[in-house]
Amino acid sequence: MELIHAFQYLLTPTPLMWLLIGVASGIFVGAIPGLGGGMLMALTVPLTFSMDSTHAVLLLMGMHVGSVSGGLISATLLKMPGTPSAMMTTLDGYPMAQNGTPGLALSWGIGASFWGGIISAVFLIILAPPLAQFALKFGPWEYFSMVMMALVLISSISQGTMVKGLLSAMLGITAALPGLNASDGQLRLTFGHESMTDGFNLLPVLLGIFVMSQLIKDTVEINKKATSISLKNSRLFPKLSTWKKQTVNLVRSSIVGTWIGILPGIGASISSMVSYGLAKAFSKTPEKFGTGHEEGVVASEAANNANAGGALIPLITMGIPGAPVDAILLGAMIMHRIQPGPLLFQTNGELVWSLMGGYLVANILMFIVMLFSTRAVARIININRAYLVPVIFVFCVIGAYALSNRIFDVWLVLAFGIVGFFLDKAKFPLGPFVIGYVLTGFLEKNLRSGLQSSDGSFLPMISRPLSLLFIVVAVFFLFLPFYTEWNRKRKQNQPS
Amino acid sequence: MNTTYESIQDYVVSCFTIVLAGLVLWGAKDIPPPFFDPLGSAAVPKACAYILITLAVIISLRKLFEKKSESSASSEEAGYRAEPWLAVAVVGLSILYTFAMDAGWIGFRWGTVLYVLATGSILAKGNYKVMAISLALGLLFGIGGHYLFSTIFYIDLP
Repeated sequence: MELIHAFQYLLTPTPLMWLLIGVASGIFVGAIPGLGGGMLMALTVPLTFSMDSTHAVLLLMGMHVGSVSGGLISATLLKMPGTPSAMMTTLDGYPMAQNGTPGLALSWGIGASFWGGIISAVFLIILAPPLAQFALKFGPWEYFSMVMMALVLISSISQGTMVKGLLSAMLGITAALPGLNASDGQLRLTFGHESMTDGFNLLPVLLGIFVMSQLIKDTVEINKKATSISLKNSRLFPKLSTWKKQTVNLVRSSIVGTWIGILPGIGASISSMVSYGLAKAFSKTPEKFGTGHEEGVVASEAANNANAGGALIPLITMGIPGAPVDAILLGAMIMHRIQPGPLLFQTNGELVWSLMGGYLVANILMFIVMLFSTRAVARIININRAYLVPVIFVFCVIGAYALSNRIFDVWLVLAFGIVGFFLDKAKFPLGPFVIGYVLTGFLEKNLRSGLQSSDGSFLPMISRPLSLLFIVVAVFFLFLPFYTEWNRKRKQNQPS
Repeated sequence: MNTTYESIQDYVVSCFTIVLAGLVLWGAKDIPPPFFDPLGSAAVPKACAYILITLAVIISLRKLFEKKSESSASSEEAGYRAEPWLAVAVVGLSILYTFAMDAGWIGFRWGTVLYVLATGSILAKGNYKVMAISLALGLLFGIGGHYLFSTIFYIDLP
């Protein structure tokens, strides 16, 4: 019933307009290599301050959905993924385009993106309410150990070694510490600077990590060129009859993407890798993967779009971002005084159902916009970096300054941008940094609550069953890379 | 000692992390002991600092005892020439732009015009057409952007 009311609201002009703007801008920006949904969302957040909260979140969600799909265009036509999640699409999308069928490659990708999004929307709508009910049973120790598990998970699965991921997460946590400690009103790590009283605000940190560091990287790689393939005389509308053979692959990839998205902290690029690997393993023609095989395109695109919906589940029900980009959505919600979590269903149920319904509508809009705008977008995705880099930094200045009318926040964008660039260059993943930064307040708050309720004892962390489960999973993933490495070396050293 | 480019990067990050952790420990030493709750304000920063130092040492030791492996493909091998000094120039201009507004030398409007023109010109590498378009973009985002954000969106700019 609430879903029907949500659709009645979403299909009115204003929310629909914001969703459409979000999806269209997300597709455009997602298609440009070097930019991405995270950058667009981070730059848009300050512009939403004067907007209605629901409209603001719908706009940002539309951008997220659009950008994940937009990456398909440059991945297929330029062999340069517009977003990291489209990396696996380049393996078969570009060869397919090179073989003379770019339109077919894009039509497979667009269709797979659509169905991946729809399937994950169904899971979102079915799973979120009972999961939120279940999460009401969580106490502070469960939340604390769940966040620890999320940080270990994302550290173990991100690029580079797990230790680097953990260090990145700890750097993110450390960056969130300066300022006023809410629990006792104590100023800490401000070093006497008045500007540091509020600590490092979320938006400048996100702009620095997501936007400025990428601008620096784009400048270093300014000579990186791609051979573009034209879409002239290529059919884009997919034929329904050709989709029957892809049904199993499509459904499997969508489910994989959704469930990996549910795991806190893991992004779409991982789900598309796993899905691609599974599609190849189950395929009757695995040798065709990498040569322009539609199964590869379908697997990758269905999974990365499904991941977006799956990642909304922990975000809405528990307030934990399912993917690094969702940290921006979380930050925007908090700025608009919306606290995601299990209580949100009770305090603001209409909003939650609007978000879930909005995700479904965003995928439908994405499909329509992609079909009709792909040719136009394909013509302009090779924008000269000389135009993009300074203009995007100007938007960063506007966005950071608008927050509190302080140039200090602009300096933060520069500082975190430089730090983010060097961390990324040294293969320290930025995902754990962002997740660690965003969740520190939540982590510390629950740790304090737990210790206060247990008179300073850490025992409930392992004596409470759910908390123990999260700790066990965290420890498992913490030691899994070491065991895998030890096992690999042992097999190498065994006499043949 | 492993001295490949990747190893040096790891050592630099580890050193930076240890210095940062030291700074955190120094900043946390003056925080008063807990009064209302068992943890206090200093516990989490100190714990983070010690974990950072541990992880930094682990990363450094792993690199130290790692066998010298082949480095990853350079940008030349990947088919393009990297431009690190161009990036330094762009970051330098961004810092100058921010400093000029912070010091009150110039406002957002004309600062943006100059910044977009200067940065676009450097990235254009002598292409006059690109420089001309950068000037147009600078005027658009400087003057037009100032009007749009301050008058329509009510965002105060420097």
